Amino acid sequence: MLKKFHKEIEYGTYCPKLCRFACPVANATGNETQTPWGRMTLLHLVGEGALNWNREVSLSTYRCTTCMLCREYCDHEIEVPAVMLAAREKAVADRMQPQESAEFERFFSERHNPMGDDLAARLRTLLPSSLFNPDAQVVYFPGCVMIYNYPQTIKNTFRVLEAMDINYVACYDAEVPCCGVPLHDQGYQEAFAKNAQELGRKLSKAKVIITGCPSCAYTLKVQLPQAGVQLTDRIYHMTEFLAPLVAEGKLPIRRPYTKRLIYHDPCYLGRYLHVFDQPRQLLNEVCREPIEEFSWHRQKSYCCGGGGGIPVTNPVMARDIAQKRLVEVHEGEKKSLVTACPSCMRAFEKADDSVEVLDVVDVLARCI
Amino acid sequence: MTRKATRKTTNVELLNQLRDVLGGRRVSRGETDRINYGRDLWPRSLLEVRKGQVPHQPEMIVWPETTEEVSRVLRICNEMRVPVVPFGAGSGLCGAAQPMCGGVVLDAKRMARIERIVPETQMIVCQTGIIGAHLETELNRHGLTMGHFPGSFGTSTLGGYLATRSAGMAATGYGKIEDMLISMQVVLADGSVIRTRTAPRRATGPDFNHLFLGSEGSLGVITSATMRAHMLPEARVFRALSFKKMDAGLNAVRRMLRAGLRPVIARLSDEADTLTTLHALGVEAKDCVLLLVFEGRAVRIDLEMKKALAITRELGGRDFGEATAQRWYGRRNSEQYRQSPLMTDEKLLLDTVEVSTVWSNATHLYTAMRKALSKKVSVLGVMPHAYPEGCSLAFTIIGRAGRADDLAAYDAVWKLALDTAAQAGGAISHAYGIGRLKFDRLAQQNPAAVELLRGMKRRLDPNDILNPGKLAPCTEGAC
Repeated sequence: MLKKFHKEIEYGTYCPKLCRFACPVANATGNETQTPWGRMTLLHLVGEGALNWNREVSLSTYRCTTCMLCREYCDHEIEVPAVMLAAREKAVADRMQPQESAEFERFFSERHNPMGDDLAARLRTLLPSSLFNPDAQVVYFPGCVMIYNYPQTIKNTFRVLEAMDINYVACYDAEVPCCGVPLHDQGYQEAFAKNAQELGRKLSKAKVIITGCPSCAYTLKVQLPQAGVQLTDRIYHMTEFLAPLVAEGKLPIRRPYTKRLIYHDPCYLGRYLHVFDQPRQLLNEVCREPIEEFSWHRQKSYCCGGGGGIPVTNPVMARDIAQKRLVEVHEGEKKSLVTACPSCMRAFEKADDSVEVLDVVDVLARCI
Repeated sequence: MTRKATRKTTNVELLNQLRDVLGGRRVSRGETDRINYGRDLWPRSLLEVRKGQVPHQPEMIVWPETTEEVSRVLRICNEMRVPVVPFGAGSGLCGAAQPMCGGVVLDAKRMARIERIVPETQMIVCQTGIIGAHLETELNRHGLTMGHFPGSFGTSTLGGYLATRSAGMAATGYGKIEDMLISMQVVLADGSVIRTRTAPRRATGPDFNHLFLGSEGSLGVITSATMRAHMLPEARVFRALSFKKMDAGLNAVRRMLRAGLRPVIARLSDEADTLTTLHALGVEAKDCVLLLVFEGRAVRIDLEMKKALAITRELGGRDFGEATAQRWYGRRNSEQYRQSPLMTDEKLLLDTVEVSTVWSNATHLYTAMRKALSKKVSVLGVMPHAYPEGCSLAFTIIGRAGRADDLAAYDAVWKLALDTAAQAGGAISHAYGIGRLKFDRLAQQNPAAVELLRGMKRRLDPNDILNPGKLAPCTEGAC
C-alpha cells in the first residue's frame, strides 16, 4: 500500500521541514514526530527494515488532519494526507489501528452513520414531506454531521431557497445518511467502498447534487469515483450554488446582518475544492460590516482540527487545534465566527462554547 | 571536560519524577519520539537515516510550558546526573541538538507564548519556543517585523536562533540575532533562573547576554527573551546585477556598505551558483550575480539604490533589472528543498560550508576554499551576508560516495573544508554554529578561548548535564 508513495516518503524524510509551522498537529503538540517530516521518517525506516511496523508507528499516521496546508509550503507539492491514509489502510489490514478507530468502525457498521441515530427519521421530522422527492433531479444532500448537529441550518437552507423562489431542490431522504468519509479517513477502505455503492444507488437519479458539507462534496465528487462509483459531475457546495443566484438579486434582503463576522475557510471547501470567493460574496451581499479575515486565510487557511478523523482518535488534539484557531476570534471587537462546514462548526463549538459559530446560510436566513 | 556524571537513577524513577512535574502527556519515552529526536537537520544525519540509522537517541522527551517547569526539570536531571539536550525545532545543521549521551531532550516549542508586543518602542517579550514564522506573523499584525529570516524560518525557534547566533537572509540590513536581543531569561543546570536587565546599552560590567548567545544549550536553557523589532518597511526595491569575477562583486558590496548604504539583502553568487541555484529558481542571468534588496522608506531606498547602481557601473557590473531579482526573492527559500531529490540518490552527499572573514581577506578565502573543495566535490559559492567590516561565504558542496563509505567521505570533505578555512584566515562558522561538526577544529583554532569556555561550563554546569559533548567535549563518563 505504501510502495507507490516511495517518492513522497523519501522526500519527506530528507526535507528541510519548512512546512512545520503550518502543520496544525505539530503546532498543537510541539512534537517532532507529529510533523510530516517525523511521520515520513518513520515510514522510511520501516521501509528500510530498521523499524518494525507496529502500533506506535501506525498511531503516528493517525495524527494528521488531512488539511493539506503542508503542501502550500512544499516546493515538491508532496501530498502528505494521501500517504497517511494509505498507512491507515495498512494499519487496518494489519489490525494496528487505534482502539478508538476500531470501535468507531464497529459503531458505524451497525448504525450506518457515525452518530448512531436514525438520521433519516430525524430529517423527516425536520422538513415537510413535500421536500422529499425520490425522483428529483436536483437534490440537497445534508450530510450526517449537519443532520445530527445543525438541523436549524438545514431548515435555514430551505428557507433561503424558498425566499428565492427555488422550488426544484428536493431533500435527500438520508436512508444512507453518510458520504463515508469518516470510514475513508480511518483507513476502512472496504467499508467505505460498500457505503459508496449503497450511496451511489440512492443518488443515481440526481442530475445535480448540492450539499452544505465540504467533506461530503469532495467525497461525492472525487473519492466515490475512486471507489468505482460515478455520480453526476454536477456536484456543488451550497455556497457555489447560491452565490451566482444571490448576485443576480434573487435573495430578498429585508434587513442587513449587522454583527461583526470573521470567516473561516474550511480546508475541504478551500484547498481541496478551491471555493474561496463564493462564501465571501454571499456574506458581502448581506452584511453591513466588512467580513474580517484570519491571518491565515483562503489558500493558507488554518485547520479547525475537525478533519482526518482526529476528533475520534485524538479528541484533545482536535480541541487544542481549534482553540489555536479561535485566538483571533477573541481579539479586538466582539465577533461571531462564520464558516461553511458543519464539521468545522462542531470542532469550534466543542473547543469553546463562548464563541457564536454560524454557517453562511444561517447568516443569509437572518436577513430575509 | 570530564563528565563527572554517574547516573544516579533508573529510567522509571526519572520518568515518574518528570511526570510529577509535567503530567503524563508532556513526557514521552516512546520509540517513535526517541527516533525523531535523535537527529536534527545535520546532513551527516541524513546520510545515516538514509541507511536506516539513528544512532544517538534520547531516553525521554519532555515538553515544559513555563520557566518554572524548565527549572524543575533541570533540578531533577541535575540531581540524577541525567543529560539534558535543549531542543527548538531541530533545524540545526551541525548536530548541536543530537543527544550524544542519551538522556532527556527538552523540547521548548510548547513555550511559545508572546507575553508583550510594544509597537511604540518596537519591542517584543516572548517565550523562546516560538517558531520564527509564527513570531513574524504576530509582529506583522502590529506593523512590525523581526527582520530575521533564516532559511529555516518555518522550522526554527527564537531560542534556537539565540543559542546558535543565527543569521537571517536579511542580516546585511537588520543584523544577526544578537543585534536584536535586549535581554533574556535563562535557567541554569541546577534549576536556578537568571534574568538580564531590559535596559538599553547597559554599562554594568560584562553583558551576560553574550555568555548564553551561541552557547548551543550547553550553559543554560534560554526560556524567554526581550527582542528589538523593526517597523514594517513601507517599500522594497530589487535589482539583479552581474560581474565577470567574484572579486568585483565583493568589492562592489564592500564599497556600498562603506558609502553608508544598507541593503537588507546583498547576495552574490559565483558562476557555478548562478548556473545551478539561480537558474533553477528561474533567474536568467550569467557570471557572478549580485541580488540587491533595499527596504524601508520609499524616498530613502530609491536614493540608496541609485547610489548602489552607480558603484556597480564603476566596477563594470551589468544591470539585469528588477524583475530578475524579484523572481529570486519570490522563491528565495526554494533552494532549501533541493536536498530531498538529491538525497534520494544513494551515491550523493551534500552540505553547506559557511565561513566569514574581513573584506581584505574575502577574495583569498573564497579562492582558497573553492580551489581546495573543487578537488573532491562540486562547489557552488555564495556570499550571502555582508557587513561593513567583512562578509560570510557559503559553499554548497555536492559529492559522490557509495553507501558504504559516504560517512567517511563526508568527514574527509569537512576536514578539508575546515582546515582550508582556518589556514586561509576564516572563521569556521558565521551562523550555523559549532555543534558536533566543528568542535574539534574550534578547539585547535583557539585553544585558550575553548579552555575559558570549559571553565565557564565547569562553573555553570559542574555535573555536565547540559548538552554534553557540544562546545565542551564529553570525553569520558557515564554516557
